[in-house]
Amino acid sequence: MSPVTDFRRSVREFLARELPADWAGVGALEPGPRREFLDRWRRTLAEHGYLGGAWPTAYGGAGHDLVQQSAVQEEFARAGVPHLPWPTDGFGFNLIAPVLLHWGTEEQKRHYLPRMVSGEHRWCQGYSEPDAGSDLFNLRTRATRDGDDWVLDGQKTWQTAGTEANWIFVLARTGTRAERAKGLSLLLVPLDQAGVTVRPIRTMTGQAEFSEVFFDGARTRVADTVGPVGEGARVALTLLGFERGTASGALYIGHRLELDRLVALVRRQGRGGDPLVRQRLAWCHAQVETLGHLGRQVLARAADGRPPGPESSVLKLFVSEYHARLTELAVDVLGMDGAVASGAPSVAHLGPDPLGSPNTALAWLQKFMIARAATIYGGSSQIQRSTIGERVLGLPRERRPA
Amino acid sequence: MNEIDALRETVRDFLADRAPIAAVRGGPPAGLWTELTKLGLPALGVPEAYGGLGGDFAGPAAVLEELGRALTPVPYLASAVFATELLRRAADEPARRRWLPRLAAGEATATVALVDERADWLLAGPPPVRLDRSSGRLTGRAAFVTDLDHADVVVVVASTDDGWRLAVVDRRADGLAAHERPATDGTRPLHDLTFDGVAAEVAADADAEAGVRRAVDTATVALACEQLGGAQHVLDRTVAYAGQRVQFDRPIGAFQSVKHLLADAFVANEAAAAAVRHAVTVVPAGSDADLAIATAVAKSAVSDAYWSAARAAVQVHGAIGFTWEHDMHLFLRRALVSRVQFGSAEQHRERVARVLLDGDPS
Repeated sequence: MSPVTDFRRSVREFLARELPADWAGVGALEPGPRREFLDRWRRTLAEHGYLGGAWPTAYGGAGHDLVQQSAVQEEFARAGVPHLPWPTDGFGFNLIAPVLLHWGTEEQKRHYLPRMVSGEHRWCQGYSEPDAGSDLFNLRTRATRDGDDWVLDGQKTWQTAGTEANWIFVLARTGTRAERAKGLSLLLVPLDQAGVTVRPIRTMTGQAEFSEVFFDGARTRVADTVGPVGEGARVALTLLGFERGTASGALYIGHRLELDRLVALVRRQGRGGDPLVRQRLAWCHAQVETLGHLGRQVLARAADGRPPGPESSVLKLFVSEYHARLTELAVDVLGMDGAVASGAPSVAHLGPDPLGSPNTALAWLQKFMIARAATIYGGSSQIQRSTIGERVLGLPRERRPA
Repeated sequence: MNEIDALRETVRDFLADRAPIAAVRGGPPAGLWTELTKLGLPALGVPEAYGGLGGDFAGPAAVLEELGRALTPVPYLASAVFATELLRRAADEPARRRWLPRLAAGEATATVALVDERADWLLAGPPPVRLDRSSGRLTGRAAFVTDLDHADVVVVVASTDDGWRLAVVDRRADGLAAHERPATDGTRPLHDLTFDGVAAEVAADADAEAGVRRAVDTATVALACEQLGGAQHVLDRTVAYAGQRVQFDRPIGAFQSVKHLLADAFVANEAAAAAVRHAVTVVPAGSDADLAIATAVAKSAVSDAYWSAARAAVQVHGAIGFTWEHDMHLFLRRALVSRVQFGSAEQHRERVARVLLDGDPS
């Protein structure tokens, strides 16, 4: 028996021990009990080393390798429990933690990583601005040196779960705008201070999944700069190279569960005999299975220590465009039932709902809406196509304005 | 470099040298198939007990991708994969012992008669050629038979009053008439066959349906491998062209409209590659149901990918790509015919829908 199989078994035993016998997935809980469960579950994960499991043991991690992380995520997704229970956790554990591990000082790692596990620090990202979306390095938020502090002025936007966060990692201009990417620095900034205002953004779903953050003389220590001053672009871009692969197994399971939910909806709506619906549903099946195969390739590549290939841009474009089309099929299958936003709401902030989630008109309508965002955030489909064209296919770069 | 990459490179170099597209346009270069059999290609994946080199389906898959890239007009798919697989999966032991070593060694080459003009690739009904079990004679018509000019024998999937059978007939047998059709894809000639009481060797006197269905799925995966090679090749050529062709003082590949078209083709190819390579791993030992769905996913994905890559290639090449002299129409024709051979993308998606919605095991 291989060590990985033993490891996977230990994850299954943990889940069997910690979850109730009649567990039907986190999606099956009502909103109130779900919030209570998630808080409790997060403490359980922290106690057992599953939060930050990939980190070295010196920083409170369990030293899980890529294959083990992937196994954890797959087993959790299959059991219908999150491996990152709070909506802010993805930004901490997946985004800023790997950057800290790579670029951070020893003091920064020892200070910030344990507080992420305990939940004392809850993170959001501070990249996008109203005039710096796809053109990220056009950002204007300025950090000015004042003794041992940076003083921040400007606005960041599209913070997922920003109202639940109390820290933000900010890409700020510490040089001139003419320097574009060269004059940026990555700063860790507390949100609970006088110079910061966080406002929810109500989106087309009707909910406030995102926020905007205003800095008006907000302060943070110069010691809270991650990586060299002026190298923020390089530091920030490194994080895009992390985290590839480990999520892809869970990604497959999540989308598989969602497609099974759609198959049930097609039956319930009596649309299983419609040849066009059958074609589109089978196409979705092919996309999801292909997602699984692509994910295994990404993981195998990462586990071999090979640098990320074209898979990550391909995967991002593939998944987000697929999800847009899957949710369009769902609303088509709902027919006039989709004109009435009834039933329980969807469970997951972004992406497919977990095991046990409601199969309602409202939930699918929310998924349909939120899928519009996934082809825009994190590098829009158009940016991904340019990246693939230039970095993978080697086509000439576009002429940039002088 | 692993064994498969080495094999791929050997075949690619050999074809570049012996069968470049310019040579292929005039029909198969003389002696090419014999040379490929001498390289041992038909023995790949055939069990050693039957004179083969053993191994799983990764070797044949690599060969097929290269043949698809180069549009090589040889009967590798028909003989080394389809006929061989039919005999392996649906023939009795004496027939396997008689034929597999000869096909593997290149001493004999086979093609397959499976469907008639109705092109029932997914075998919704019984095979069109009838076998009279008492006389051992075949009667009926078959269509879309590929690579007949190379074939010494035809493996016939036949129906009887008591299930399906597999039969082997000599290409020159009395009562077997061949009629060549004007093939849309000139690199893959097509014949109709008429069986008028042709004496046949019955390769299994037991119901061969399950074995035949599995062999057809394997041949479908083989065609998907060819399509994948073709799709990747037309995209490679088009990307190269878009980097060189200058209009408005810049390479046309710098324009987003062109770049994004090619990026989408690349994503479709990568996705199809993942689906096809998964199906390749299922071929040797996966269950019939697993192979059926993996085949359906791969064939529908790669048919769409090759089709859109070929369309994009023709568009990006502009007027020059529309000429007869340019190679692009050869790939467009192969993409068009491969898209429907062994079942269209829509038919394969319907297979998937039956599993998802109707509880059909395959």
